[in-house]
Amino acid sequence: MAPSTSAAEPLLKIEGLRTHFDTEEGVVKAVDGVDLELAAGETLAIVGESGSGKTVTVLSALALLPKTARIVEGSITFDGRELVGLPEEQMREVRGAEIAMIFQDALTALNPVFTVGNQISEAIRQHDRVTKDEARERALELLQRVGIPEAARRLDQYPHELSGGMRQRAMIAMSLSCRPKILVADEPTTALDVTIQAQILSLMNDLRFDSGSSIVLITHDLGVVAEMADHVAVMYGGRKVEFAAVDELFAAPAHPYTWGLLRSLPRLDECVGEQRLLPIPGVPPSLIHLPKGCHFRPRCRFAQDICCEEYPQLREVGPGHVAACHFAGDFADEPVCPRSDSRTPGEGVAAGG
Amino acid sequence: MEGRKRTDRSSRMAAFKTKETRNGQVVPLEGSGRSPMDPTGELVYVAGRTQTEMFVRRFRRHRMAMLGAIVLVILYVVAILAPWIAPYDYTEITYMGAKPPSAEHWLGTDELGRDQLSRLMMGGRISLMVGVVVAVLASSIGTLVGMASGYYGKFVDNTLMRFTDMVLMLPLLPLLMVAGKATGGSMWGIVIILGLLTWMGVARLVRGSFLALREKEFVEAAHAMGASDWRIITRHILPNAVAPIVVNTTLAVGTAIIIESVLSFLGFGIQPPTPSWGNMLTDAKSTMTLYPWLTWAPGMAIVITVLSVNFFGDGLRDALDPTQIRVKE
Repeated sequence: MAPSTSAAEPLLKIEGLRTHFDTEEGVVKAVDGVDLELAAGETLAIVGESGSGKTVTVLSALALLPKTARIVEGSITFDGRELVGLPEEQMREVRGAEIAMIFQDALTALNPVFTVGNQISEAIRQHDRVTKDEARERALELLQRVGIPEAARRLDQYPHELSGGMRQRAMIAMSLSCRPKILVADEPTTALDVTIQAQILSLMNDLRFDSGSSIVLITHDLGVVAEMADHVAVMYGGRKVEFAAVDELFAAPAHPYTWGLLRSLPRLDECVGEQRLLPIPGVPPSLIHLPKGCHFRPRCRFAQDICCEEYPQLREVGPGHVAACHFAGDFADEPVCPRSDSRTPGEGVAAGG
Repeated sequence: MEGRKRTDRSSRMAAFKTKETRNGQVVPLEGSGRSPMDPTGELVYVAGRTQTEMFVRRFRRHRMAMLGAIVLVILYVVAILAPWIAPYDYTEITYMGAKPPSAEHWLGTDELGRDQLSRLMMGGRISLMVGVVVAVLASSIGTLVGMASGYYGKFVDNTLMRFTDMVLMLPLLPLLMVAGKATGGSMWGIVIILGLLTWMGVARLVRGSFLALREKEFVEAAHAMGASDWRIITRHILPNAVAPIVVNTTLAVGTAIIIESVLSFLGFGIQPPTPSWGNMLTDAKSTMTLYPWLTWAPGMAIVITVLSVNFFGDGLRDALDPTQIRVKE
């Protein structure tokens, strides 16, 4: 599938997106000024804790927000088309056919009263005018393509008759049914066993190379990110705090939060026995009463006076690498996990700042 | 993903002793309910029956429901074939005056000398027809209202539910009597009125199901696949809510038959000479002490029909909802 946009123009472009929820306690600024770009054929990972606005960002793009949410500001262009404020009828054409979604738990995302084949055919017939037999034929092909054994038999089985891994495969088959340009995967492997996780991820990678579609991967699993993504956006408190190519991010994280995320993961290859796991202290901020200044400041070990005063702008710390920290770049050369000298990053910053 | 190990199904099947559960599912006997897996973690086989097979099995175990179903089938077949199999024309005056049951007139004759069995069969046509059509009509209206109310919520829900409350508040019997009079006792008039006044229960039931189901993730997934509201309501949510609707519709048949009988009994329903079980009772009530057999036949017909419908409905409910275990072995 040839990307219909020129190389310069990203397939999906989110600019200055603000999505707020009106609740009784106040306005929840779930997404508060996020810019993202996704090129054709690329995989973008959005990383962050629960409540950091990852999911709301992509749901905004699909206009699938709950009724209490509204897009306050910003623009989302897909393939040169503005999606914010697009009439529901046209939005429906985009959903599924252009941007499809894979859900976290396939058991609840598949309809329990229909067979798998039935549901995939239904998804196909929603956008393409084909007969029932043709749709069934295509459903069978899709099931085979996502590596479901005995696909012909599975076609007539109900979701509860399939194993977790097969269900997720069926879910992926369904989302691929209309050859979407973007596949949004919202924590696609969280509900699965580790072994099945690896299978599903490699399946998604294969499919991406086959079809050339882009993937937006929402996850909090950095292992998944390392395996899948080209670019990574780290979100915190409704804002993008760091964006970089995946290698760059893992090699030289520039935001203390990203740092914390990486340090809270056990690593097999480095620093065995030298470093203990460092959790990020505290909890994510309430999105109703965000702290003044940098949102991460209350949990940041490197916070200075200026961090209480103003929210840091995104600073370029390398080619295509930005981070929203007053000191981003100042300690960018610090290794995440020092090997020979046992200096902690904290000392490094204290020396630098 | 290609080249996944495929295990020969039959040899695997033989390796596991299976037993049949009450729900008709076949589960492995050994390994405490675990399914046999191959090393890739995929299920090697899933032995089971289709939903329909399991439903039929559960229903057939329910003895009273089976009995009810058989009786209903007989009643409906007789009613449908009545004009051809009735021993006499229901208007034909065969004998002067009422006569108790005999070889020629199995259920006797009424005071005009008309054959009671033939009248009962023709009356059954009306009563059974009214029962089914009213139940279907009321369930359809109720389902539509409940779907809109439960799915859209908020303003739509409030408006429709307050309207439902309003209709519920109307005193049913006086209203039916007035309306019955206004339609001149035609069967279709009564069907429509009954339908318009008995949909509220189903509406509330369906609303409840929809409120719960619309929050399910598969509904969100359908949205994300680009399904329209109408498609989501009819293709994704409704099939999940269909079991209680079916059960309710069945039970509503019994209620409709009773209400029609009451109306006819009070003289506001089906008008003579067209017989219905209700107006046959009316005719019989003044001479009850003299010709008691005239009340037995329509009375028993109503009781047996409604009982059968209720047993059938109970059986349906148990068979459609396996989580509710009420079937006595």
